[in-house]
Amino acid sequence: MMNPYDVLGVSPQADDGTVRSAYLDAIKRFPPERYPERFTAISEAYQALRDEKSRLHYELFDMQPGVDAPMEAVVQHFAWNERRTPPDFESLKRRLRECAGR
Amino acid sequence: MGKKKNKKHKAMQKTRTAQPLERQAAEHLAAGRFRQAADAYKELFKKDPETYRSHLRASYEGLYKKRLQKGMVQEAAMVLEHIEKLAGNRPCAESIRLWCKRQQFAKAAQVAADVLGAADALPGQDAALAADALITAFDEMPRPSGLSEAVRCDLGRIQTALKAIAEKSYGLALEAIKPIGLRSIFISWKWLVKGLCAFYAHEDGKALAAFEKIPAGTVPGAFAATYARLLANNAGKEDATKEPAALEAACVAAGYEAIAPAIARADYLWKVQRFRDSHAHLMAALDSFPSASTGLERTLTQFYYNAVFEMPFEQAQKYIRHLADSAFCQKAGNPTERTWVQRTVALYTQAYSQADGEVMDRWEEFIGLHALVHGENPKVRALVYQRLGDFFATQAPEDMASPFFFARRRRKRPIFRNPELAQRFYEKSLLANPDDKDTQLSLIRFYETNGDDGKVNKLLDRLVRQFPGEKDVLFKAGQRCLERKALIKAMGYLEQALALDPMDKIVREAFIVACIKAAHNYASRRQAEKCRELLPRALDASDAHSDDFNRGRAYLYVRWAAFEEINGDSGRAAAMWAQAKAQRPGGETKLHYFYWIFARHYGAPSGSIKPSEDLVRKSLKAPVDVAIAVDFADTLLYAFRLPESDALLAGETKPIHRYIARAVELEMTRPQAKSIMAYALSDGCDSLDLVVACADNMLRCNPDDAFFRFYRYLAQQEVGLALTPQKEIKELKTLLQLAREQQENSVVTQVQKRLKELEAAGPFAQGDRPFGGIPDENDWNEDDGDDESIKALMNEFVPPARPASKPRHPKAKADSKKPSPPGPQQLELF
Repeated sequence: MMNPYDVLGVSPQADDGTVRSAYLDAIKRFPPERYPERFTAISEAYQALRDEKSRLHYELFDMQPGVDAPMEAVVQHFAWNERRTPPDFESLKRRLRECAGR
Repeated sequence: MGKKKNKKHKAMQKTRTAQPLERQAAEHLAAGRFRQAADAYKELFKKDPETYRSHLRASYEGLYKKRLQKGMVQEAAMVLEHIEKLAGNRPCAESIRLWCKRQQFAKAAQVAADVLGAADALPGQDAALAADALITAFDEMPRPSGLSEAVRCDLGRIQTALKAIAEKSYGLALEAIKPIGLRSIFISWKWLVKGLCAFYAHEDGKALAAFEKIPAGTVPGAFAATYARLLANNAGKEDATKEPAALEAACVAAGYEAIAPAIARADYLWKVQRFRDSHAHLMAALDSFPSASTGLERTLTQFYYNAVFEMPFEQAQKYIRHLADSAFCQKAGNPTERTWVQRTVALYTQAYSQADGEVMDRWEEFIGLHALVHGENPKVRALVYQRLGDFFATQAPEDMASPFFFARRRRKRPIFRNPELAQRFYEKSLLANPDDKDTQLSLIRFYETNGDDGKVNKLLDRLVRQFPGEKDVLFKAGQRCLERKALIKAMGYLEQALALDPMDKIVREAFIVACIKAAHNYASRRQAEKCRELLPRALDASDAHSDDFNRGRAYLYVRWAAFEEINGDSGRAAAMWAQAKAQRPGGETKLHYFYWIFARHYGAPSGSIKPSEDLVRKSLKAPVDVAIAVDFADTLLYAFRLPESDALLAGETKPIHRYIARAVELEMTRPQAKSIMAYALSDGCDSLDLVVACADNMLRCNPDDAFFRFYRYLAQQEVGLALTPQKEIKELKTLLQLAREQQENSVVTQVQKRLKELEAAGPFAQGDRPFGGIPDENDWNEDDGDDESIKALMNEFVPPARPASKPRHPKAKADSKKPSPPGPQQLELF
């Protein structure tokens, strides 16, 4: 399972209410008929974080690495991350020029 | 000597005719041997410049690109001079590559402008090169001279759009590129802008579609490839040893530019199995690793500290020692790292250690460290102690000499790992958090399994007082009362639980069961009115037109009819029968067979049972009907749960069994075959020949049906006609694949277990059978129709001994800790 905090976009300090509203917001944006995989992941994440006991249980006893390699962690994290940030213009320019100079 | 050779060589060259030389040159060019091609075409060019100019230029261009790719910039520049000379010293698009390689983007752009100005129409590749050069010059060459108005406008649009993307103004970017037409030399850039806007707006499908339109070999093509790779979700699975740069680029595209080199390196080290180095590299490179917060660092932390549970034993041992050294060998260690490591060590010890003391110590150390870092939290303490309680209350797996249903022996008393410690830790957990409902329910389950009825009742009474509005608690109390035959009390608890969650099928079923039992009690005592008061409440909770024997309304009416017969009211009984038939139109035989069995169980007068018995016997004499056979099988399977089923069904099951066996020869649907298989596998039936016949029937239609193929495999194993271990492994692997494809999860689990056993069995499992083994000619014994021969074989062959199973995977252990909701099989009506 993907890191449930990232799936719901909440911090480990979030209270029950925050987790629930993040969950409701997420399932509204990713309905099961259009995003079945994402919906399942959101539901699983909510089950893991729904109340203080579940969160503690997850923090203490979760044994799933979730991925097979560090880069896969990056890709998965990226895939679930709500915030995709474009590079600034200088960085974009540099990277385009790197492609041109290859 | 040398001079002589050279002279001879030159003489030979002169004698060569143009034709073979041309052939050779063409071959070199086609094979990408550009230097040799250029040499040959140079010679031909001297003889006939017009014919061979384009060939020579193609050879030079190939050589030029090759040298550029290899980073031989000087050498490439020399080749470029030849190309330009051939082009009549006009501006040459190829020189753009050289300027870009030299990072002189302004010069590249000027060449591009010159090239575009010199020709009306450029070949596609040159146009794309020119477009790339104009864009990548950015503000170093804001207004290249010699460009047409259209090109100048499109160039400005793309540059505006790229700036807008960097400022997250995706709408503006899309607006800017709108006027760029399909024939524009910037069309690839338009697709790139579109793709990037879709990408950052999480419209992955649109982004991929746009990126796919960009031709490879261009700047936007190379830039888009990284994003496309991320979206295809395969970047992490690529071989890092082959494409570390691509991985780093993917990291950058994903928005992790600052840590991209560190992650790419850590990934490489991990993939070449240098796990400890990979962890150490990330520790050194990232300040915020390990992390207890959110974000990528947290995902990486979870990966690095949980990966040990997926590693082979020896590597896991080394890795965990490395983690402990990293966290605890420095005086000023990172507290977050120490907590993560201590947690991993405790979980690992629990999963693999045989020593109870060690498991306790590691968790106590974790609690101490956690309190030190995060402050004392009784809930953490309570959770850890509850886990330890569950761990010590784990029951040893049942002794199953055979994976099949035959010869299975169940223990009467459970064997706990350590019952004293289990109880002690549950109590410690409750001391730390007396309000923990789940720990109390776990302790109740432990007492129940241990047979401590007094403790169960006492704790349950307390729990009901403490949590009067909790469904789990009320359900548990109701179940307990049912077992103790305190039926009215059970109904009360279950009705309260049902009010809290009317959709819960299990609670509904338990409530109906309590009602039926209580109604039967009243009927037996001739308290007809009280009996009649209860059953409508059960009807309210029942399912209309359902074939479930407990929840189905039809069967509830049949039971009510039996109770009315006991009460001596045949008229009401007839009315109940009418209701039952209305609930199950066209399927009366099943109702009558159900009545025949259960009316006797309830003690209804025999006169009321006779018509049902006659109807069933008549059906048995009629030609076989698969649907009726399935009805019989279902009903018998349910009736086998009656405690006095042996006595009640004695002498009656044989004709039913023969009827079902005849039906198995006929064509049937898969669900029908599954029903019959369930009956055949039951303890009450215990018929290997029926299993084989049923499986064969289905496999004739679909030899790849995982469910039936698996039971046929088990049946063959059971009679001792085993495959060689190598063939067995092959068959099991095929079964596993089929079961996964067909989502037969129970088959997947069983096959995986058997495969693990075979792999753990060592050399015998690899095919070495020191004592010869059972002959495996033709793999299976295909002649499985002869019941007697199978029974004889069963008597002769002792089932092959199974190798000791490996310790369960920690994941499975962890899962088994979770209290599972009671399934329907736990509800005991009888």
